[in-house]
Amino acid sequence: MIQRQDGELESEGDHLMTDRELVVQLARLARLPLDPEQADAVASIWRARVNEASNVPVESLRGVGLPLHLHLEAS
Amino acid sequence: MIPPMDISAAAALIKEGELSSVALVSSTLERLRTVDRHLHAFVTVDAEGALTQAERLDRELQDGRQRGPLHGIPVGIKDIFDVAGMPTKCGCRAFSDVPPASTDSTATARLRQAGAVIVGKTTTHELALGVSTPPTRNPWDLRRSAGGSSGGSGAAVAAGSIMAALGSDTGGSIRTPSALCGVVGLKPTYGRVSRAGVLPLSWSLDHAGAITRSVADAGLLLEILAGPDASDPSTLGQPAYNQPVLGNESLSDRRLGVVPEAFLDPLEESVRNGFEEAVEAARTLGAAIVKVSIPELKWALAAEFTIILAEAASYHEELLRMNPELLSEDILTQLQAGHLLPAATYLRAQRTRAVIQAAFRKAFDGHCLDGVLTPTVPCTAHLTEQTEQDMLDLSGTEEPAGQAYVRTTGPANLAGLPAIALPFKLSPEGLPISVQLLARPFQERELLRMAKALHDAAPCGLPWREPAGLGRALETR
Repeated sequence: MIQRQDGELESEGDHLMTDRELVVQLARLARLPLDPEQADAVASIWRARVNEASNVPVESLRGVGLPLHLHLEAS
Repeated sequence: MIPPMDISAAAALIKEGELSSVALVSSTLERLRTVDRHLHAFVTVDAEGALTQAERLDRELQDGRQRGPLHGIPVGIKDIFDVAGMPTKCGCRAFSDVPPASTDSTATARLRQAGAVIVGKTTTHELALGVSTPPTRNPWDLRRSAGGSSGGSGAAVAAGSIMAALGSDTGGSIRTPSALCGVVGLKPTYGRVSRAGVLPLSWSLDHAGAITRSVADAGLLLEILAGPDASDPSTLGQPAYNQPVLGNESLSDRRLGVVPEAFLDPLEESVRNGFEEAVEAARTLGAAIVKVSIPELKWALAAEFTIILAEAASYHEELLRMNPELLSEDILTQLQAGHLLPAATYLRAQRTRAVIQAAFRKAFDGHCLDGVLTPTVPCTAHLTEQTEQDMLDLSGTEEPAGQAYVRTTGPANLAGLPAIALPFKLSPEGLPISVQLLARPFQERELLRMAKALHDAAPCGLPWREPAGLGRALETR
């Protein structure tokens, strides 16, 4: 799959994969039971989460490590 | 009916022999039976066990032994905390047949060691993942939600059917029901209170704490609950907590930040008016109000929801694979989406969280702040038929309910900061409006001093009064 400039994903055959199809494929790969009737709702949440996280500019994360444990100091 | 007094006042009466624990617990149970048919705030009530505990505590006191500052005081426990002898059903069909827990969660055990009487388990939103807690009703208006996910605890304390209750808070689940029900809710610093024996929702965001009627009670409960626990590594190596004696506090020489991002736009008009009154009250009490910008907060919801869904999906993976039919549709779709999120998305959310944590530190240091003052939630209680996805009208701007509440409470979870919800006044419709104070990590002593000052100055501070909606229902019985 490749990502177009508008953010949509395309498979190799130039078929535009919808979020629903993508989520169904991901569930299949993860062997996660997914009721087809729920696929649109799952895809909607999935897309929202991925888009929102992607909206955080990558340069703003420069030098930021991963807080595996939230470390706080009294001040 | 529990007398409208602080826990410390009731405990003092018990200690002096002027009130027995049996009498207090009996009146609690009578009140609970009267009001809970309207509120549905409890899922399990152990009346016989509570009275047996109370009798034992009264005997111990006669023999000269006082367990601690909660000796003989009845409390409730959110139904995601293990309580020995009671099932932990988590508001979820998948847990409906679980056997009773064999041991107490650490928080419950500490309450017991301090002498508390465990009366029962309070209703939780399914798996603590939501802001409504059906079928619990709001005591100020029975058509409205008590908030979530610790809605049972909030409604029960507001209704006077319990003196305090435990709750959990991953994105506001202590503070939102406290705000909507008009009581005090304290989310301590991350690592302050053990979460051992509590159903996880999101390990890196989960906090445990208490819902109470007063700020003094919040401090008393925190002193009992706080401290290291080998079963929860986040609590190890943290500074000790000693509750200050709270008197007539002021805000002199305190600097409070008001942060527009995330907290102030959009707001329901009555909440905006109430918050502006609270800012003025803080000024009158001597505080310097400083407008502070934290632009990084525009990414808070993205980080919060991604972390919650990914971690919750991981914790509940077996349930998702083996028995998805036992989850409600709304919870199932959220967990499935969380399970399918790319690892890179989750990691980016965690790194974003670190950026937000640093931004708070910079704001506190750069402006020499003692605290940040915000509305606890952007609106008064929504109607019970409104779902998490339904749009709330916030003075002309629409926002989904599930997002609106977390927008103002979630930042303190991401940054791990201590935060307290304080009832401030009632809206023209008679619904509670709450303000939130945040402080630096592990500065709960300062937080509670400031909270006491503000709460004492609030138009709807103590003394406790009967919530109007519940009062009407009881009159028309």
